[in-house]
Amino acid sequence: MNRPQVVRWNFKKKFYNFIRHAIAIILFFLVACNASDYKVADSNAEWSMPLLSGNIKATNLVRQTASDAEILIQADGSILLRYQGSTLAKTKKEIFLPVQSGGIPIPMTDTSTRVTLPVVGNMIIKKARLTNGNYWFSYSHSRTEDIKLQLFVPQMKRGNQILNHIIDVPFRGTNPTLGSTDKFSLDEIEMIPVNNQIDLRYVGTNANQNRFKINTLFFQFDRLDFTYLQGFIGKNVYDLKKDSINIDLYDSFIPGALIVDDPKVIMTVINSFGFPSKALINDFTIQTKSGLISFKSKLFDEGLLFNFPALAENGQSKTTTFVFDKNNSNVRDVLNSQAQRVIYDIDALSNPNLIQDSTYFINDNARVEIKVGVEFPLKVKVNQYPADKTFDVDASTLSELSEGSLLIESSNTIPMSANAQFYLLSTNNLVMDSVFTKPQLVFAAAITNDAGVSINSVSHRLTIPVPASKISIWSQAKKFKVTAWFNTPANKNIVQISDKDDMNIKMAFVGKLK
Amino acid sequence: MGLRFKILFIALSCTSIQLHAQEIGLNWLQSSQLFNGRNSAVPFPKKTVIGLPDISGTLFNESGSFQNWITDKTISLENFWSGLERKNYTTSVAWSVRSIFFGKKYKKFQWGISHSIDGESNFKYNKDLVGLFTFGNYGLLEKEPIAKNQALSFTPVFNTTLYQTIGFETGIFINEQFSIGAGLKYISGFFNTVSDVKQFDLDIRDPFTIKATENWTIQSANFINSLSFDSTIVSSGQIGFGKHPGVAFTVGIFHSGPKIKVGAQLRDIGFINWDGDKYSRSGVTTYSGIKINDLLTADKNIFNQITDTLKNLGTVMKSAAKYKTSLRSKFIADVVYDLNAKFSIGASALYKFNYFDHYWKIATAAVFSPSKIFNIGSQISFDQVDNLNLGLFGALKVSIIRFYGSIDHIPVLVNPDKANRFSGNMGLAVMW
Repeated sequence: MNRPQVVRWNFKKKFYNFIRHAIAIILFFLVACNASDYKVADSNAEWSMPLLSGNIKATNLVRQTASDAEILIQADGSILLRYQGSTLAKTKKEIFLPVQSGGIPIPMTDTSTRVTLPVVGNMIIKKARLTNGNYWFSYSHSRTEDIKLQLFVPQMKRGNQILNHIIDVPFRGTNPTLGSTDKFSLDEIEMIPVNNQIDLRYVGTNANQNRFKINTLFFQFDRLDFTYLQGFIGKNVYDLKKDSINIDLYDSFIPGALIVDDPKVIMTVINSFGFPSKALINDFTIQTKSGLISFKSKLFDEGLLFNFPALAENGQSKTTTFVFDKNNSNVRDVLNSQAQRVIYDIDALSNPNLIQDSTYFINDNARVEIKVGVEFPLKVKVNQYPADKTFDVDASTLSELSEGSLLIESSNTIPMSANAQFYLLSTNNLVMDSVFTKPQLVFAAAITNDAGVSINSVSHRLTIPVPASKISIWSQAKKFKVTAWFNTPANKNIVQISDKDDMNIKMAFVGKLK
Repeated sequence: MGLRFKILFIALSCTSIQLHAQEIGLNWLQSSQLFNGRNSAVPFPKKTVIGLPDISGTLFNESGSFQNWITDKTISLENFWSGLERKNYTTSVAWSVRSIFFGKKYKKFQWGISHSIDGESNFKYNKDLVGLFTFGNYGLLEKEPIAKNQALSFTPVFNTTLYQTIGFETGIFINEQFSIGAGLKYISGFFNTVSDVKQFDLDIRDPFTIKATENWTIQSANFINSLSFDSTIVSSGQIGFGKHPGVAFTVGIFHSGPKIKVGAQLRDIGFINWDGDKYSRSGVTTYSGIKINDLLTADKNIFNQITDTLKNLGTVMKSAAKYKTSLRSKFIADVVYDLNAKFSIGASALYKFNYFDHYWKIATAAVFSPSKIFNIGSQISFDQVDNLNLGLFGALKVSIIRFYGSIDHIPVLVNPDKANRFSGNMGLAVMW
């Protein structure tokens, strides 16, 4: 009777113990199952995100500053800005226009008639090679027989032969006999006048070889031109066009903010006329932001004589370069006074010293070119040169940040520092906020030698805080404007900007995410 | 909680679903219980057996005790990171749900059919990967001196798989002492991801430049829909039965003497063919933000191009791929010696191979059977991570209903230092 009770009691106890253990075990399993009971501690993770890496090359900075200038790299790597004016040129064809006869015949009143050539300017032709024209003779006589006319000009030759024409004039039964010869080309005819005069001669004969004068005889030509002329050339003024050169280098600077140490005005003359000339400066002024200033140089007083080829150098060009710099002119002062335009009006004067009995020459291709340029070797002193750039941004992603910083690391081999301010703009370009209360140094100037040439780059790191309190307003920005002001070191009078110089910049965001 | 923390939390600890896979906790009761993973050579306890749901699972977390980095239910990633050494750590979870088992035993043989769903996930990480999530790439520079001198190597590995099986098994009783068993399973995969990360180095020394050296592939079927820099979509949609087929077999042997029972089995020798995609990246990627040759003439939209630039840099190659994975195979040997009618002692050995890292474990156990309706036992095990575990197992028989359960480790009693490892199962069966 008792055994079943014992068994029942044991069973209950064991069963309850088992259930108790089972529940404990199940609870143990389930506790760990419930991940929602746990939370991850607030994160302090700081993430960095590279945003950009780029550079500003010195040449590009210069190009933006002086977009109208030609940028030249010198042998030493220094940068030279050149503003080049138009080429003022005069050619032989423009100066010595062909002489048109105007249809007026030259009467040959006798068997030998001396004619003065229609020479313009103060010239005495000693030799000329003619071209591009024709001549002919016209006649009239009352003889009732066939005649023969021999026409010749002793001072004109074709090859080694004196110009000589024999014309048969038949009698046609009517009186008087009128006619003219064919037209003869003047090409390749060499003329050697004497005191600008030549002789026109003729001999009239009949079938019996009797000589006679005819009633009228005319020498005619349509135009008189030459491919080569040799002789005395006197003073003549050859007018060249007035011109000017725009200078945009100083446009972005306030007065005195850019000092170029040794700017130059360079006049280059390329001349193939075989006679001496000099420049006549009618006008040479600099237009600055504050008005016109005369450009002065002692070279003007000395006379700007052009080189020219000697007789034996026919066909060659001679170059003459006049350099106006701070040592011989006021160019440094006037250009650094915010030059905007260089205005000049230059003519050429031939044989300025009027050397008598001289023999010069002009060939068909002769020309004179005058080029005026303004050069700025970039050895400069710069104060607060501004440059700005605006970028479109979608700053809404900032709202995912709790706080952070913008890291900027720069490495600079340009001997200029740059302070910058960053503006956050709305769609309408309204300034919503600025990052700094005042501009901060972004680029430190490169280390230079005594000559102001960059020898070592300088790195600089800037941290721009993005505080939690500003993220809301900054995240609404649609544009990001960077304004930088460039300066050469205060302890350097002049630094040299070289083509290899550049500013490298890297930008990254560092911050905590929400 | 941010997404990355959710991912990290899930990867490292969510696996705290503590109903875990078949190990060896119930091996000493396999003559009387019908648990999932039982040796097919062992005769059924009754002529007709029906296995009802059986849930088993294993959680393995190599990075020490949760107590090291959980305070007041708040997970401190900083504490977690500081407790890690410079080596690879593994967190894995494996689980199996047997939905049904039906078996019949005859004089000379027995057979059974079953259906189950099995899954396993493994995540391998190191201190630097945790540090990256914890402190960020910039913050880690201040915390980890090595990060200032060299690129950090992460080589994370993530594998996951889920499949269902329909199995048939049989046991043949050679004589009263010896029996052999074998089983064959048809497998239909749900999803799978296998990563092969040969190199994933990240150089974070310069906040203005991030340099990654990568050589990795991920093969995935029905798990990763897209993998790119800005969008990784993980989803497992409707899977057609048989789209990812596989097969597995099991063999076993069992000897039952008057006092001693000895068994051994080789389980889950098989594979699954997956029809999926292959994602890969190889090479060195250096990102320093948008590269601008001349800031003065830069496009005013440059800042808005950063995302596009990153997308281009982070392009992941994708191609269709058919690949094969092995199952997690196991060799299990066990012995039980009956001291008397109420007490037994036993030993068991487990070796897992063919998939992910190999693993071994040995255990001894004592079983107390105070009555025919109740068994309880305890085991002490030692595994390859030098983790000594103390576990419990037991079974209850009420009429034709049998309930059983086991846990390989009781954390209240033994506080592991080197690894958190929990295995257990529980299930229900009826037999008559």
